[in-house]
Amino acid sequence: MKENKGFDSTIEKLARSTASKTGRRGFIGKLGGFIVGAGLLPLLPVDRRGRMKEANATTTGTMGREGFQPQDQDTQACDYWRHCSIDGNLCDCCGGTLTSCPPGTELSPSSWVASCYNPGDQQTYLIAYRDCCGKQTCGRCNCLNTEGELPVYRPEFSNDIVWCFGADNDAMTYHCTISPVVGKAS
Amino acid sequence: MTTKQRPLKNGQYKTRLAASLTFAAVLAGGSHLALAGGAVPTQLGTEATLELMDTPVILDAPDSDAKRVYVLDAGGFHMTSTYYTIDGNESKLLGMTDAGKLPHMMLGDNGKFMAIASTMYSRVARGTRDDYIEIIDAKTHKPIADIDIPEGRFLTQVIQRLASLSTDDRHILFQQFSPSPAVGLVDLEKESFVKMMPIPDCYHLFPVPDQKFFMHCRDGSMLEVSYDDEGNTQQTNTKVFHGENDFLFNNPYYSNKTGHLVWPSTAGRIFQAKLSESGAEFLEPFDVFTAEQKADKWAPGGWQPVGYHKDRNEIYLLADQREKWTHKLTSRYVFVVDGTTGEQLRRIDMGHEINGIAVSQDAEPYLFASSPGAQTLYTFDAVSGEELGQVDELGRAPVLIYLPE
Repeated sequence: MKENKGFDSTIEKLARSTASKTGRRGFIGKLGGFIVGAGLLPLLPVDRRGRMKEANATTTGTMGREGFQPQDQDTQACDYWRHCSIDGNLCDCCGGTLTSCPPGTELSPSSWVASCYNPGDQQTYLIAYRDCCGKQTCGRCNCLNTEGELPVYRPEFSNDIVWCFGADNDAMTYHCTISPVVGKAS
Repeated sequence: MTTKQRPLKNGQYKTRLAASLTFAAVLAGGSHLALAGGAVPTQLGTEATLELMDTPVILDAPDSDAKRVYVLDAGGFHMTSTYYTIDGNESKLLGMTDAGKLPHMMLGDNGKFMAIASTMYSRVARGTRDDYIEIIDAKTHKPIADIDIPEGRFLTQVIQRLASLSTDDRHILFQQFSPSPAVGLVDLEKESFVKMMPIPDCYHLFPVPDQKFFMHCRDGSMLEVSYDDEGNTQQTNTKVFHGENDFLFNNPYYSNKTGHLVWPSTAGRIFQAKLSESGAEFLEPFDVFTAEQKADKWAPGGWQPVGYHKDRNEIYLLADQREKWTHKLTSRYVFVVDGTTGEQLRRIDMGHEINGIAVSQDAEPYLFASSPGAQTLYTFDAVSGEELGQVDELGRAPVLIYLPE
C-alpha cells in the first residue's frame, strides 16, 4: 500500500476541526435551509431584462454610407461577412439559420450571387443568396447591404428581385434570406 | 369582380364615371339588406343607431393638380401595400388606396385615375396567386374597373417603370420575368388582357405614341417595340448608349408626355434620351460631380434618386458623400444641374435621410422627398430649398413618389 501521510493528516485535521465546531443537528438544519431556500429562489423577483434583450435582439450592424465593414463573429448582425449583398431579412433571426430556412417555408433553388470577404481567414467567397418563401415577410434583422449589387437589368447580381423562382407551391412570397457559400472566389 | 364602367378617353370620362358610381351605390345599398355580416345587428339598442345632429358624409378628394402626390408604402416586401394621396400644396393627407404585394401605380388622364397592378394570394402569403389591375377614380378613390391579368407580374422591390400606361391611356403594359421575359398587353377600352408579348432580356417600359415602347437591355442598348391590337410585335435594338460598368439606377425619370428619359449611373453620370415614335435620340452624357467632388466621395444614392423639371430644364439628383457600393442608402442633399450642360445650379440641404425625390412640373415647383426611416414625406421649395411642410406616419417604409404630369 502506498503511503501518503501528508494528505491523510490534512484530511484528518479538517474532519476533526469540523466535528468540533458542528453537530449533526446543526448540519441537518443548514442542509434543510439550503434545500428550502433553493426551492424558493425561482419565486423571487429576478431582473430578466438581459434575457429579453437577447430574445428580441434589434437589428445590428446596419451598413452606413461609410460602406460594408465585415465581421466574422455574429451571424445575426447585418455586417456578418456573408451578408455583404443581402437586401432583406436574415433567416437566422426568423427561426432559421445562416444556411437553413425557418419551419413552414419553401426554399427557392434560384439565387443571386456576390463575392464577400471573410476577415477571419482573409479569403473571398462566392455567396449564393437564397430566399425562403411562402410566408409573410419576416421583418426581423432587416439588412440593406449592396456590396457588388447591380441593377435589375443584371438580375443575377440584383437583390431587389423576389428570388422565389422554383420554390414549391409556386410560393412567390418573400420571407427571409440565407447565405450559403458556393466556394472560394478565385 | 369586374364592373363594366371605364373612363379612358377624356370625352367619355365623366359620363362613364357617373354611371359607374351610380351602379356601385345601388349595389352597395342592396348588399346592406342582403348580407348579414354587414348589416346593423338586430340586437343593438336605439343608442347604437341614434339620429345625429351632425351629418357625416364621405368626402371626395379635390381635383388633381400639379402638386397632387401619391406615396407608396410597400412595407419592404410585405403582402399588402398602401398608396397615400397627399395634397402637396398644403402637406395634407387626402386619402389612401389599398394594393397588394409590390404593386405598380400608373397615373392616367392627367391624374384623373390611377391604374394599380397588384398581386394577392388566397391565403395571405400562400395559396392561389391572383394578379389584377384596378382602375381607381382619383376623386372618389373607389375602384371603377377591375381587370384580371395572368399571374406573371415581375415582383421586385418597387420599380416604377416595370409597368406603364401607353401615352394615349388606351393600353397598359406590364413586365413578366418568369418563366420567360415578356410584356403583358392590356386593352383598357375593352377592359381585358390581350397577350403576353415575348421580348428578349430587356427591362423597364418607356411608352411613346403610335403603340410603341422602348425597353432597356443588359447590353446597354434600347429595344424598340411596336405592337398591334392583338399583341403582335416588331422589335429592333438601338445603339449601345452606356458602358457595361455604368450601372444605372433602377428608378429613372421618364415622362410619358414628352418622351424624355433621365437616367443617372451610380457614379453620377447622367444619360438622357428623347424617345419618340420615330426612334431614340441619345443626348451627350455628362458627370454631375467635378473631379474634386468625386475625390470627396460625392455620389448619388437612394431608391428614387432623380427628378426633372421640364420647363426649367433642371435635373435633380439625390446625393451625399459615400463609399462605393452604398448606392441604395439614403442621402441628405439634392444637386440641381442644368439638363443640357450639366452645370451645377444649386445644392439643397434637406436635413433628412431621404430615399426618393420627385419634382412638380408647375411654374413654382416643389421638391418632394420621402424618408422610409422617418415614415415621412417632406416638401421643399424646389428653387429656394426652403422646407415647407411634412406629412408623417406614412405606414411602415414609404418609398416611391408619384406625381401627375
